[in-house]
Amino acid sequence: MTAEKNNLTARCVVLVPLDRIDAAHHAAQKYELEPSIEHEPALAMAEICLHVQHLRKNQAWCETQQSAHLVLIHTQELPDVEQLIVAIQKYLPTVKISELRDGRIIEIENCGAVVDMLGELPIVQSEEVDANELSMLLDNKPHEVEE
Amino acid sequence: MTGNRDARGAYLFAGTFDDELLSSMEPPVRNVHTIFDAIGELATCSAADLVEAVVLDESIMRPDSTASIDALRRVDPTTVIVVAGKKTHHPQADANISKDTTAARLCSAVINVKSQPTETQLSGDMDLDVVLGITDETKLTRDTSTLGDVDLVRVLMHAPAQFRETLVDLLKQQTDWTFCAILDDHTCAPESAQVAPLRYGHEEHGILAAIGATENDLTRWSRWAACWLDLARRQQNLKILAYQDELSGAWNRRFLRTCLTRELQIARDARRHLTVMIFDIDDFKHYNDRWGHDAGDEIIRELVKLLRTIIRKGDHVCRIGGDEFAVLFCDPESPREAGSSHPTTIEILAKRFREQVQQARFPKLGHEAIGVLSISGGLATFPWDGMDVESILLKADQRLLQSKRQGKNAITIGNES
Repeated sequence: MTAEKNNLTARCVVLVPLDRIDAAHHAAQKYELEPSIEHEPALAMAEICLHVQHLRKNQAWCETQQSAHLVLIHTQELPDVEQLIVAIQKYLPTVKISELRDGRIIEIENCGAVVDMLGELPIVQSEEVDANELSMLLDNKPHEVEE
Repeated sequence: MTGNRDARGAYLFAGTFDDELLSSMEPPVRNVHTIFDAIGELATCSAADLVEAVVLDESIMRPDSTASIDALRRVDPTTVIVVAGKKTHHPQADANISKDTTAARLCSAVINVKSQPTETQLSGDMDLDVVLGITDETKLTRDTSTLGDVDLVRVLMHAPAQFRETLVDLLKQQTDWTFCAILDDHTCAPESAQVAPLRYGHEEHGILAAIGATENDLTRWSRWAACWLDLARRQQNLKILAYQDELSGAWNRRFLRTCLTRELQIARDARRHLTVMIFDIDDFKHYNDRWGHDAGDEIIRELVKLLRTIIRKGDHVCRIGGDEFAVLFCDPESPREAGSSHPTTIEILAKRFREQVQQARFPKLGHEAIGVLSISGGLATFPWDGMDVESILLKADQRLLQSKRQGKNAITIGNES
């Protein structure tokens, strides 16, 4: 089991459209997840609340702290998912929210913003900057040429 | 006490509501804008902010309202769910009201729901009337074609859960209406029905809807029915006042004795075990003296709330003194066998509760007080530790004292374990 898989083996809630449930089963098998699968954002919110409560209750018995985990799969096809994420981050800030993208589970860092970490970062080619321009940009004064 | 709807708390409004309605509600009122916020509020509120009812704006729900209501129920099955809308009737909600309702009507609808036995109460925790031995359907009239006022009194006395149904049966029998129903709001009535408010003084009990009634007839019968409904509600409220602890929402000492007597008889007949745990908060006086009685009250409420998350269906939490509690574990497991010992499940529950009390946070005590609260308790189980109410309570109390003598923060189970 890889480190990545190991990190995800805690029980989690998976939100996936009903007609994409195969993707949820596939991800569960691949990452050895024990998911509660929901097809409605409201029910996913309720389930994640119950997971958090359950983990808090068991905290006294566990040596390591666990956090609840929500995995979003093809949720662009579901309504109100952004509202769901905002509410989770407001009421349950310890919950990890991830998305399945290109076969990988990627954690979402920003509120409501789904970032595709697999995409190549764009490289912006700029014109060359000479020493004087650089000094102006950094220090707001012209470069003093040594004599 | 899963399923108990008698605790008092705030109204949570989800969606957009008229400012006039929100400001005219008795405080505290909370207003959030999405169904997800409502679920989050419900899941994370403390005992002090207990949500009594969620009022959902129909427009924030999807056309199929089942998921929204189901989600709220998963998080808190005891909260009353009211949908405020224009036309659609949502059968999963506890009550449907018009969006332009008044505070009085809304409160009345919620009280109506709370005065009815819920499915959760009946199937899960308990029906107060059943536990108290009030329900006795053998005393009811079977023939619904010859009902009279005396039958309503009988139903109130022996089967209060059937009261509304009997009232409607009697109305049908006394009139030639082709349809008759007592509903929460006029939006639930069939289009062809005439409706009249069921109002007694300032109290509202929903509406009477009928097809085939004259206006005079409907008004006359609605006044008659409202009078009976008010009597039923008052009787139910009195029962709750008599058996419930107002501060914590737990049952009281009177309930414990009544319920334990009945449960012992059932345990005896079915050859089941029955366990009572008595516990108190270590040095509770210290918390009251240092942080004030307000903090003490919060500790009591939070402890009961915590305990409810741990106990099983059918178990009962009772507050039997200032900081003294009893938990009645009405074990649904299979009948005991010769040579069996104390049920280990309950020992685990008790141990888990003690440990969670230590982890609990009580905001009124400040951050430095986290983890300092502890409890001491004792368990006694029928038939090993006693055969009647007195001997079982005495044994549990003796073990509680034993826990105190041994340095507190312990639950004594018994020598046999």
